[in-house]
This record gives sequence, structure tokens and C-alpha cells, in this order.
Amino acid sequence: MKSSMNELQGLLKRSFEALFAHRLDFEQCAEDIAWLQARGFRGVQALCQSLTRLEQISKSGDLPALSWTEAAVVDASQSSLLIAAPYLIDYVIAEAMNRGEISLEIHSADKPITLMPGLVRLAEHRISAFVSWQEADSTERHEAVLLDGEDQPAYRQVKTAKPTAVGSLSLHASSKPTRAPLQEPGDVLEEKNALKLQELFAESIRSGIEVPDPCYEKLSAVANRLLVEASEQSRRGAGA
Amino acid sequence: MAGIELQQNLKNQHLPLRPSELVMQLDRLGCLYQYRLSFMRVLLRRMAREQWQIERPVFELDEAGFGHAIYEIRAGDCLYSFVVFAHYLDPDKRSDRVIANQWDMTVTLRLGTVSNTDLERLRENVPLQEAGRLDSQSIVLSRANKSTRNFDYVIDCLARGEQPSLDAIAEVGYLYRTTAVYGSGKFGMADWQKVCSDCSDFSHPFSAEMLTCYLIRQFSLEQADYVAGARAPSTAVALDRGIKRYMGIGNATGLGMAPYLINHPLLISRWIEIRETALARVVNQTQCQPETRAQLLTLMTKAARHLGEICTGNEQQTQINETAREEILACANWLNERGENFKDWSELLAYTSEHYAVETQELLNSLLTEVHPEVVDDLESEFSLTEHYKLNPAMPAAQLRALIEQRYQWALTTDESEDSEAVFWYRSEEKMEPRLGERGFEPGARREIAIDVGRAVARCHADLQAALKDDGTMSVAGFCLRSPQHRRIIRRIQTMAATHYGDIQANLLDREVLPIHLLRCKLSFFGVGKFDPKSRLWVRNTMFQGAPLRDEIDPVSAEDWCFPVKPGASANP
Repeated sequence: MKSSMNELQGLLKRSFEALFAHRLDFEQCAEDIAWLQARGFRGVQALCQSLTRLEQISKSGDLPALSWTEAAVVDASQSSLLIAAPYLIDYVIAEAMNRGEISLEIHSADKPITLMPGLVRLAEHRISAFVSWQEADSTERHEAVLLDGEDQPAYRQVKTAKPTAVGSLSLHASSKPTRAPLQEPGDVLEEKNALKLQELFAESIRSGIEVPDPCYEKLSAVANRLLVEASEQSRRGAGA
Repeated sequence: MAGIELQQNLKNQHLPLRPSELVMQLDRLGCLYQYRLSFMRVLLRRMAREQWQIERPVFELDEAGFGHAIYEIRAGDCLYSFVVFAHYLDPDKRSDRVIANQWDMTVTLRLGTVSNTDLERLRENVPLQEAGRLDSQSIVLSRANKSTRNFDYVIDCLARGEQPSLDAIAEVGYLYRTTAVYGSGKFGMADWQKVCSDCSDFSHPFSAEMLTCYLIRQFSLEQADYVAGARAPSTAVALDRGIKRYMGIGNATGLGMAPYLINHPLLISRWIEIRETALARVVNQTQCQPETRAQLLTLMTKAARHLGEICTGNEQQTQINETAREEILACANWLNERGENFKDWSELLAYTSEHYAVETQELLNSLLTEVHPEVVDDLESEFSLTEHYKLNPAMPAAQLRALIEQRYQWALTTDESEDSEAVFWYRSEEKMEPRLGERGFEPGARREIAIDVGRAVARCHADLQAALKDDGTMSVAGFCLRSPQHRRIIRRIQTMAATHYGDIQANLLDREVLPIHLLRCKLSFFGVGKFDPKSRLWVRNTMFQGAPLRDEIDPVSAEDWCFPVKPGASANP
């Protein structure tokens, strides 16, 4: 179905709120997924795939459960970037602003694509960044580059020769002037530069954002957990 | 303040504005009146200035007035269509509540013309309202119910060849009452960003929604003439134009509007800042000249008459109106006695704030903006704002703590008694309607809406204190990792710290909270009048009463319709 941006954001906010109550910034998580969906990155599908994982994380009560301040290499198998990405980006911004640059390696990251919208926040702080990731057993590598002075990242997906056993993500960000990184060779499967991202977003606003019906229904079912059953007493609570 | 990126500021920020501690109090916001920059006022001035044309190419109603109609609005280079479906409604199903599922009239405002295919799809979906599905060509979806008392009475009179009694009309003041007006991407409709880019005629906040209400009013008047004519072709007369102008469109607004004000603090702060800037300009950049003084005195008298003509069953509101009426007349007398040498508006405001109730003070503030359009009207263009709540993660956590102590002192002194959080807000399964529940007695508190800004700030402040004891050099990013639940409120604190007015200063969980203050605040910015509270949770009111009809809009008529009084009435109160 076609959804408006406002409607999709509303559904996503309620979904994250239903999953985690007010224990994290459910609005930022929702805005990030909507950002992805409006630019053809299938953020809603990624969220739907990870709903069970998110339910488990919520029950464990350990949010967002990544100890970035303690190590440059992080095991993220107990969390998901669907909820941790905003906090990771905050940390990257603070470190890049205060120390000049930061490098991180994250293993077993769930849904690394969720970092893409966060790169726009890096741009607002004039921080350049290079992120690459490869999921476990996949021969596709994803790269996102944010250059000095750009307000949007560029993305590409390339075919690599060898799959990795453990999914990994590397990120380097700097508040100093940096050159574009050398990208490893490979067949380009998909490419979206800043202009393309803007075009995709403009089209989503013009015609609506495509959201698969099963995903919409699944998320609606999650979001509806926030709703309180109706009664005569509750109707009085609206002035009846 | 270091580390805070200032929001886009208004012109003339050097003007002395009233302080947020005064202006952002909920009980004062609940006393605001429509003013010169209220949205329906701005819309009609724009329609007149740009000579918008409103035609009615389709009017296919049966004798009872049921069927459909299409109005075409030509504004600049764009054409919009307003599509109305008028239905038979079982009187037992007529309800102002959001949870109703049938209405007398359902409508949509769309971009472009309406093809037969469009019309059929709209006919299947618009009458369903929230249960239907629209596309991104639609901008607004709304519905309205008849005021059966007025509608039937007016038709009977017209069919007999008589005009209705003004006294009877004045009791209600409209033929139909809207019960919800949806825009901004609801139900698949166009996002606000699309409205701004593709329909720039509606880039002023809520202007498409206001036009929809205006056209509902227009249709209601044309439908009344038509039904009377169909019932008694040989005797029926059209409704007198003066009476038509005196007919507004009713509106019933409930709690659904309240979370909007809390969830869009940047927007609300901007609206308030514009209103206060208009007032500050009048006080600081103009002088009271004999002609403006005379204009103000006339307006004060008119406003007093308007207040005296309001019929409400709410005793408290009746008393409020009566006090405001008496005080504005007393104030007019005081101003009159000061003679033509009186020059300084600030003296008038000081006198008013010393002697009269908040309601009268705010009424006078509104009236002052009317007599000085030369310093007020250019603020029209300042309402649009991109809402973006940014986190500054590199800010030292200690600086965030200081920011809270500087800007949110009101939140840090929140009452901790049981009564101070006796209620909670939640979404009902019935159309997600926001409702109030009593904590400890009603289910749903675990799913309450995060509407209590003050407590969220206070909790964040307490955890910051603890965190800074452990690590005094911590950044906001580090604090968010430690306490992820606070990230959302920190974004708000940092963003709002860069605004002049900040957040509404209210405890919305208090047992005695009056949500109608929030409703009236927003409705005053829309430009509505005649507030008729039905409880502390919902209010009836009237829109566009006194406004020119679609074939009367010109620069003069678009100016002169605030605080309407009965047509033909004497100027004396």
C-alpha cells in the first residue's frame, strides 16, 4: 500500500513505543526507519524481519546494550542497530567532535543499513564518514560514504569474491578534512548517490511511500498494543 | 548559549517580549482570542489579495438535499477541488464524538480536477472517513453534522417565504458542525511537505484545513437555499445575505487536539512568539493616534456586544464572557476619559493588567493587533517552520544540566503530591482517540502517552545529577548510552532552549488539569470564536462567523469580520 511519510512515521513511532515503552528514543528510531523507506532502502521490511529479535531484547531489559565507550571492537549480537543506531551515531559525533576522529568495528550487527540516516546527522556536524558492512554468509558488501561538505551520504552495494563467516561492520568518522576512501573493487549491484537519494525522497513525498501490506499489518498489530480497551468509563474520559 | 544552535529567529528579536513565565502558563493560554494573524483571517486576506475564484460546477442533490457537489477553487496557477457528499443520517446516529461512524456531510479537498473515476473512488472512501483510504492528491478530509435545530428551522422559514429570526439563529450560529478535520498525510493523503511544494497556496499552517471549513459553511448555506426551494418552489426565498454572513460553521473539538500542542513544541512556541512580537511591535513601534484610538474604541464596543451575544449553557463560561464584556467596556471608558492626548499603548496595557482579568488582558491584546496592521501583517510569512528536534551529543552533560536549571525551572519544582499525577492520558482502541483516565482506578496507565514534559525533564535532571557524580566530564552521548530513556527529552530540551518561549508550562497529569485550555489556545490561532465548553475535555465553537461569502470576498470584506455581531444590531452594547 501507499503511505504518507507522516502516517508511516506515526505507525513506526507507535510500534517502537509498543515494543520498548519509553525506555529509548522511540521517535528517533521511527524517523530513521521512515528515512530509509522513503529512499528505497526497505527499512520497514528490515524492521519486520527483526521483530522477534526486538521483542527478545525488550524482554531482556538491557538497552541499547552496546559498550562502545570501552572497546574499539564490539560484539553486537545481543542488540540490534534498529534501536542502537541513534546511540551509536551520538557516540560517533561526540568522539569525532571531541577527539577529531573515531574508528569502530562491530561484529554481528543486526540491520547495519539502519546507520544510513544517522550519517545525515554526522553531516550536520560537518563530520565525514566511511561505513562498510557485510552480513554473515553473504557475498554482498555495502558501503556508505559521507564526504566533507556533503549533506547526504552516497551508498553502493558490491559483489565480493568471498563471504564472511561473521557479519561485520567498520566505521571511520572524522571531523578533520579527509579524502574519499579507496573503495575495494567489485561488481556494483546497486548505487545511490546523494542526488539519487533526494530524487527518491521527492518521489515518495509526491506519490506516497510503498509499504508491503503484510509489513503494514504486522506493524499495526504491534502498534495496537498501545491501545486501551473501550468502556463506558473510558468514553467519559473523552468527555462523553 | 554555547553548544546550542539557534532556531531561525523572527524579525525584530530585539523587541521586549513578554516573558515565558507569564505567557506559557496554561491558564493564560486558555484565555487567548482570535487575532489579526489567526489562520482563517490570514486565509481570507490572501484569497482576497490573490483573487481566488470559487465556482460550483457540480451540484447534484435530490429534493432532500442529499447527493454530491464539487466546488473548484482557482488560486494562482493551481486548481483545487472540494468534493462534498451529503447523506441521509439517522438522527440516533448523529454524534459530535470522534468515534461516530456516520455523518450528514463528508468532504475532501483535492489538488486538481476530479474525473469520474476519481469521483467514484472518493464516493467509496470519503464517507468512511478514518476507515477509508485516500491518495496523495487529497489534502484534507473532513465531515460535519447538521445542527438539526437550526437547519430544520431555517428550511421551514425559507420554504414559507420568511427569513429566520435572528435571535433564534444567534443561539447556535451555524447550520452544520464539523467534528474532525484531517490533513498532513492522514489516511494516505498528501504530506505537509507535498502541500508546501505542490500546493504553495496552502503553505501557511492549516490553511487547507481552514479553507475546507470555509467551504463546508458555504455548502451548508447553498444546500439550505436549495432544499427550501425544492420543498416549496412557489413560496420559498433565499436566505438573506446578511444572515448568511452571520452564519458560521460550528466545530466540536475534543482531546484529540491536545497532544498536538505538546508534540509540536517548536511550532507552538513559534506561533506564540509571532503573537507576542505583533503585540510588542504595536506597543513599541506605534503611537496611539486619534484615529487608531477611535478605531480601538469601536472595536472594544463591538467585541463587548459580541461577547454579550454568545449563548452557552456553561455557567462558568457565561460568567467569564460577562466579566470580559464588562471589563472591556470599562477599559474603553477609561481610554475615552484619557482624551486625545493619550499616546502610549503600554500605559493602556499596564492599566489593564493591573485592573482586569487575564481574559480581558488577552482580549485587548488581540484588539490592539487589529488597529495596527502596518506593523503586524508582515509577520504572516513567519509561521512556516521546519520542525527538527536535534540532539547535540557532544555537549558536556554538565552543560545540559545547567541548561535544564536555566530553562526548565518550572519543571524542577513540579508538585509531587498524589493529586499532581492523578490522571493519565492514553489512546483508546476506539479510533485511537486520546482519553484521560484516573490513575489507580482505570486500566491503561502502563500504556500512557508520554505527554508529561515537566516530569520527563525532572527525571532526566535527577539522573544527570547522579551520572555527573560518577563522571563529571561525561558528554550527552555518554549519558544517553547510560540512560537511553532520556534521549528523547534531551533532544527536546536542547532544541527548545534555542527558542524564546520554550515549552508550555503545565502539569497535564494533575487531577484538576483543564485540557480545554490547550484546545482554546490552538483554536484561537485558527481564529475561532464563541467558545462553548461542554466539559473540561471538549468545547464547541464557531468558525468563519461574519466572514464574506464566496462571491463577496474582496480586500475590504476580508478585513472586517472579526467579533461578529447580529446583523442590523445597534452599535451600542
